[in-house]
Amino acid sequence: MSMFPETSITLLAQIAARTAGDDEAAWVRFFELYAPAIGKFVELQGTGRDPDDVVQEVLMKLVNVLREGRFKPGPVPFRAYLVTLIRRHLVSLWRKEQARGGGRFVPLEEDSASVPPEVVELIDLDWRLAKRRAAVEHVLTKTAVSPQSKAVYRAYVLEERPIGEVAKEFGIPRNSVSQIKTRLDRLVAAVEREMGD
Amino acid sequence: MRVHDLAVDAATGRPYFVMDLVLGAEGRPESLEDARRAGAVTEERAAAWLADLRDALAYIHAAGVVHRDVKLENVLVDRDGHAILSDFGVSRIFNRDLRAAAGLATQTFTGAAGAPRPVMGTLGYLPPEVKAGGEATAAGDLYALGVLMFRLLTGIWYEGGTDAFALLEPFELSWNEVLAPLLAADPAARRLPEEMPQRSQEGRRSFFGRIGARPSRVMWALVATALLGVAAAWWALRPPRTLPEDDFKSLFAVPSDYGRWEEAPR
Repeated sequence: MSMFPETSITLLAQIAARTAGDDEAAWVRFFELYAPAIGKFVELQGTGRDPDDVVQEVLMKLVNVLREGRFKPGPVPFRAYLVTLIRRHLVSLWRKEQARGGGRFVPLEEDSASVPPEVVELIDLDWRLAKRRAAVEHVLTKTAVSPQSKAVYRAYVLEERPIGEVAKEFGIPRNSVSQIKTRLDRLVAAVEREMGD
Repeated sequence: MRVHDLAVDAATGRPYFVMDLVLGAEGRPESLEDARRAGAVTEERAAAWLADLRDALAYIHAAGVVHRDVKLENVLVDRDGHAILSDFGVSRIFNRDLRAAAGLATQTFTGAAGAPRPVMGTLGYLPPEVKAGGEATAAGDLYALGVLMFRLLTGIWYEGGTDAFALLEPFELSWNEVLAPLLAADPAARRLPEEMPQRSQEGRRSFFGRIGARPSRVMWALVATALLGVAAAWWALRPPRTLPEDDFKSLFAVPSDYGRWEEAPR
């Protein structure tokens, strides 16, 4: 019988498997993919805080949670757990600042149990957007796709410029622009799949 | 990576060996994983590294050694940019003569019936047969090399299936042709690539359309000159435009009623 699950190798599955000697690589990969996503999520919350600081603090909590096996994959997806963790962290930071007489932002709620479902849905959308942006950044900075293709994708998808304008600038047919978008979108989706849900 | 010396430390009694010191262009150790994370991988560099690793694996396999942990972190890049396969910590010698020379007993798995075989290697790089509890062989090294290259290019893990190969479409070299034989599910079907990836057909045919291949002014001038040459040759060699003799005469013949029209009754 196989010692490993036959399902695809998501990052979370790798960390959960805790294969001897593989922990470090899995953690490095976890930070590589999740740190940008967490940073972008914090930006979307509009807290005015330095996302890098929050990322470090949240990751330290996450490491403990995952290493101690406190997160149990089940009906609750990892993203819901992670988002709650980040928002609780932001609220605790706000409380500390309030106690010191400061505080630059007011979180939507202090108690996650009292969050209306519409807000939960919006928060979930924020996380999906942050994750997508992190995956796009990963494809544009950590793959061997040609600089020219990356530039076309950046102009057409991220800057939302008209296809004709992009085609003219790069001296390529319009269908080549569409083709680049389709192919790199596929890579972006694969990065998101590897991050897990 | 070469081993220069084997010895025992006089003070501690611990054995040690002396290997090449491999430093990258920045003067510090650099692995392929470092290069990937720094976003410093191009298709051309990846193809050159594949050639280096192919030669390294062909060499050790011919010598009866299986590496068993081929991965990005275990390949160093030297000052000249060559890939050096390192870390033979979990490798295994299958060559009987080499084993005897090294004073190693013939190793066979002797675990209890039904007990899982101890797995060496890194999860994401393990071939299907090893995940299923089989033994790591030279074919497993080839699979790991395929995963390594896939990861180097796309930044993600290889998960198998045709969808995975579709992820290689954005690239300009024919990676599918090279990686498919390495990543074959059947270990017996795996092969080291003889040829390195070439510019894909799409890249070759799209002289006017390929990304980054705008025709230069010189190329336009050559095309214009060629067209002019063809036109001049056609003009010079065109068939003579002559009329048949009768037609020629009839063209200048004086009509029989010429000059009489004035006398014609009105």
